[in-house]
Amino acid sequence: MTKRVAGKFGRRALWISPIVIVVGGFIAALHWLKPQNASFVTVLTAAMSIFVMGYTSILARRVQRRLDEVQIAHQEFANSRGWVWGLYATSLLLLLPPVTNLLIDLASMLSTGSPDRSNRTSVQVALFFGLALVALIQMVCIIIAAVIWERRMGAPEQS
Amino acid sequence: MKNRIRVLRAEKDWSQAELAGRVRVSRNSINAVENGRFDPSLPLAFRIADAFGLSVEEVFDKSDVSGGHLESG
Repeated sequence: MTKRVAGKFGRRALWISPIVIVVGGFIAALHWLKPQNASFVTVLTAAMSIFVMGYTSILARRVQRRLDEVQIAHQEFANSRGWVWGLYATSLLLLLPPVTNLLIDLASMLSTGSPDRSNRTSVQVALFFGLALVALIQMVCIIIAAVIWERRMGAPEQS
Repeated sequence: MKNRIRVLRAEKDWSQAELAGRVRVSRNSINAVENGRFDPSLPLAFRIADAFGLSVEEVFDKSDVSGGHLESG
């Protein structure tokens, strides 16, 4: 039994390892990448992003293949609600001045070193933050929708 | 949709996990179907009925068809 569980975890770890290696390697190489040619860095970043997106799509498809119809309905419920709720929540959040001010200051600080100065890079960073915020809040909303589904379906019997 | 899964399971002395293994779905899925919170597809309904050696009508109550899965309503 323990061997089976260990094997299951081992297989999962093996499947996830390419993403960990590529993203970890990229983060570790950030210092080395900074002084490199900008086009080279852009191409490398794009290649890494495409790999991560493609590989996660393959993983998602693989996981979905094993789901039964109730689990697929669960996933569809969580995704459909989570995506929409996430968009609404992010839009509402971005209407709040303290949140937008925080993001603008953070983007400016990271690019120019001052919250009062901004340049082209700060706009790029701000766009990235916006995208990351949408993805993050959508993920949270998907988890909330998944919990709602679980509660509606009821706790499994222990018999 | 009402069904007799709980009663039939008790007669056979099967746990939800055991039935789930026989019809190749998760235990949570059996729980959702058994409690009438999720209407199974025809193939799954047939698999459940087959596991008990009964017809679909003997397991599921067709007079109580709610008209769709939870997520559509």
